[in-house]
Amino acid sequence: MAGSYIADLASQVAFLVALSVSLNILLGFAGQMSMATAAFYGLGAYTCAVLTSQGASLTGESLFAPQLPFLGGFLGAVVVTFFAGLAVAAPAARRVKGDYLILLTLAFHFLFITVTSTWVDLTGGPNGIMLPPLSLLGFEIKTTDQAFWLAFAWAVIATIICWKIGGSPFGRLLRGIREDEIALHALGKPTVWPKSLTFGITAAIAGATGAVSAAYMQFVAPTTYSLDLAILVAACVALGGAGNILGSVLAAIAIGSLRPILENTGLLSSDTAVPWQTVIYGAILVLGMVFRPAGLLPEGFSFRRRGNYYKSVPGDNVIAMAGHSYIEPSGARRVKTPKPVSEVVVEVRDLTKSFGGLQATRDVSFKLRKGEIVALIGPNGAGKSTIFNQMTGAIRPDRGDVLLRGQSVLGADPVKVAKLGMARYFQHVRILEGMTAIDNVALGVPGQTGEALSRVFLTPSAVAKREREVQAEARKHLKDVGADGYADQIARDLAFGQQKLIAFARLLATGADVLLLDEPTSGVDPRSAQQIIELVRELAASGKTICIVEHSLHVVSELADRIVFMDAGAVVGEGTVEEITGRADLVELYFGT
Amino acid sequence: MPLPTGPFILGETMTQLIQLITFGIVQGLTYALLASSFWIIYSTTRTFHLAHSLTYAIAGYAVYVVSVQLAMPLWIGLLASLLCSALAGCAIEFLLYDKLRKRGSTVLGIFLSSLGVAAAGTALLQLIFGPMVKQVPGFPNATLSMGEVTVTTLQLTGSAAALVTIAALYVLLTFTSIGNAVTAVRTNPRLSMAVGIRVESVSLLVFAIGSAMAGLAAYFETISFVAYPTMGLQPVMFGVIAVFLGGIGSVKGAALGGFVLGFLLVFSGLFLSQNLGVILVFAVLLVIVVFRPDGLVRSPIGR
Repeated sequence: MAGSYIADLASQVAFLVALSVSLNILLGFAGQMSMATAAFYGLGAYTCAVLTSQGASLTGESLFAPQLPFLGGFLGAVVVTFFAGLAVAAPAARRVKGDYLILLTLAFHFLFITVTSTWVDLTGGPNGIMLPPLSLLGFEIKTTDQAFWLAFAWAVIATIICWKIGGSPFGRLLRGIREDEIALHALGKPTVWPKSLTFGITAAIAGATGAVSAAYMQFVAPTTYSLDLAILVAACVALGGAGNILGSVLAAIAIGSLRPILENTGLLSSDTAVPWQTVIYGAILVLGMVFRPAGLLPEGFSFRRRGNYYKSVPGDNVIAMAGHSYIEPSGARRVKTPKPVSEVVVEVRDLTKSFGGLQATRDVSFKLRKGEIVALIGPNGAGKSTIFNQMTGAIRPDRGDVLLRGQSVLGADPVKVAKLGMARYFQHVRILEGMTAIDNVALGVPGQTGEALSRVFLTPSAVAKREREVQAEARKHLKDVGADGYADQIARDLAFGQQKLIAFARLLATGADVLLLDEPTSGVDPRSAQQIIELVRELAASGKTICIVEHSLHVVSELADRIVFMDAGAVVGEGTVEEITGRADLVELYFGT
Repeated sequence: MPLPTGPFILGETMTQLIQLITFGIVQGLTYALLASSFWIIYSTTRTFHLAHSLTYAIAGYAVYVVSVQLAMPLWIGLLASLLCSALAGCAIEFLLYDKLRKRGSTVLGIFLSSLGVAAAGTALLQLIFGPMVKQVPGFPNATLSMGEVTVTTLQLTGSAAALVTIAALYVLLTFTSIGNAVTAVRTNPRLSMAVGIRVESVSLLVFAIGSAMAGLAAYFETISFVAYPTMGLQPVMFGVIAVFLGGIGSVKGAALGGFVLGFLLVFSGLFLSQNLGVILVFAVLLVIVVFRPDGLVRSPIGR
């Protein structure tokens, strides 16, 4: 019987592995703090149990039971938990975040437990449901050893699915969501559906695991799906390394093996082994969070560094702009010659917005022409950033309109506006700190096949082909801004000036032809600032339409073809640099106070 | 408040209604106490302190050890409950959360370590005291009747203690310099540090206060019913729900949330089964979290 004892333990470990890898996608990659793992696991188990049972509980009451074969129960579990995951995501993907999400998923867990313990007619209440002996496609699975192979096979499938998701462009999108959703919106990447889908998929994997385990144990009862289990799975993810699938597998195997090891050393009876296991993994979780918060295998860690994902590029970090500038070098163009009047690309009309009693902008109108650099200047609080927010759809104006190539973009959200080709560069860069520079830029590239999860699995070769193009494109943009030397470094570890360059490369990657730049040179060293100035100039020369908010008059006079001067929410002056600096009242406004 | 109307309020039903209101107040005050205890910790330190449930259970076992195993009077048991819970809370803050914050741990990291403490501590209690429930008899309990409405002296004492404690917390926060320091840290920890408030001391203080408040609730639960290892989970969960229900901006919001929750549970029992009442609570929570994330009571202070 020793063989079946080990097979039984190994099956339990296999279930833990499947749960851990699925939670890692949700928690480690997408950054969604879900405590509902045990509930989805239990929901899958119960669905399978109800669909396949012979209709009698332990005490013999008859229950609702369609008596399907196991495969029917399994598919039922997948479908039910997938939609349950989507249902939880409905509030979670839109506005519920952080602590509220913990609360929401905890509530879902308790709701599940309450329903399973009380809806006796369906679930058998505290007595649970018995399942028939397992048979798959006509094969009777009689021994624990045979059942183990089923559990093992499922754990492998779940791990492969999660591995594929994690390593795909979709996985990169999820990590971007974890880092900063607003930044993704500004790059034209929607986040609600990817998040919802991730909730659905990971719930379905947990549910399928529940179905297999229910068929394996031939019994379900509410106590199996306790909050302790949810904590155990979270512990595996955190200890193994959030964002690292292999880490979750290893941690689940290690922690899952704790109890049998405790039992077999003879020190503990089987009564006390369970609480001791909890004490030990609780303690490991605490110590792990203190001493190795990134986990055993941190994100991006790999035993063999392979693929171009995190490959470090040999090369110096010297920022070298000369030689590979963006398009044609426009030469030193210190004296601005008046440009021929080109077509109007963006027209801002009468934008008016007040927050309560504060009038942030009032009847602001101006036009942006192709190839032109317009500087929006004015004292602090003049409403410059608020104008950008209204132009990109982050704030809805009370009155007025924004026309992009003649079409109103009023009412469109930032994702839509970015997709239409008006992209924003944030004052506080909004770099995705936990990701590499190249990943940051790659997220900016539009039209990625692999960001649709279905394509990752259905057309892997097309996804791989497009991904090679995306990587090449991202590298090119990094090179254009002179940041290719640190392509594979985590953005958090870079200097602010370097982060700004990466944010610039990311902006270029979007391919947008209208660029709204919010203080692109503030807070960077003079050399990087000069680099950015050159870059902006070249972009304009290549036909982009640029509006820049800037405090430095040096930058403005170097770059701007036209200045729109704002004060207290209204445009008070418009003209060339010379015209504006020639007006004593505006100079007084700018430097006076 | 869902009140039965029309033909329901007649004779006997009227008595039932008053009885239900009485129970509602008793339950409501208990949850108001729990909600305030979690709120003071959560809103000040931004720690999702789920190990609060362990603190609660420790207080429950403290009165068992002192008043049953050591056979001391119940009021010494009460002191032990308050002291042990305050110490437990402070120890978790001082030895764990404070270290994690200084190491730049994420919200998730702190929450997971809190889960680890809760899981490990609860299992340790089970190993030490066994899985069986522990009773602490000896409170001179009596049933008071006013007409046909009854209430026990234990319920009255517990409710009074909860009310006084919440009022005391409100006074402390509103009218004292210590309260000002707590409010300052809650509103802006960095700025507080800049003006010379010792944020670590304030954090320890709120952990002591909040934990002792949970200890008080646990004391009354233990002498009314029993102590067991996972006894803290549901009360703390409901306390957390109450905080988000009422609003995280003020103690009034948290306490009101607890009170509403208690009433909701009791009154749903009038129309629905006990467990459906729990489901109703989660439904209300969902609606609040999605449509009114600031809670019932909005406040300029807070996130």
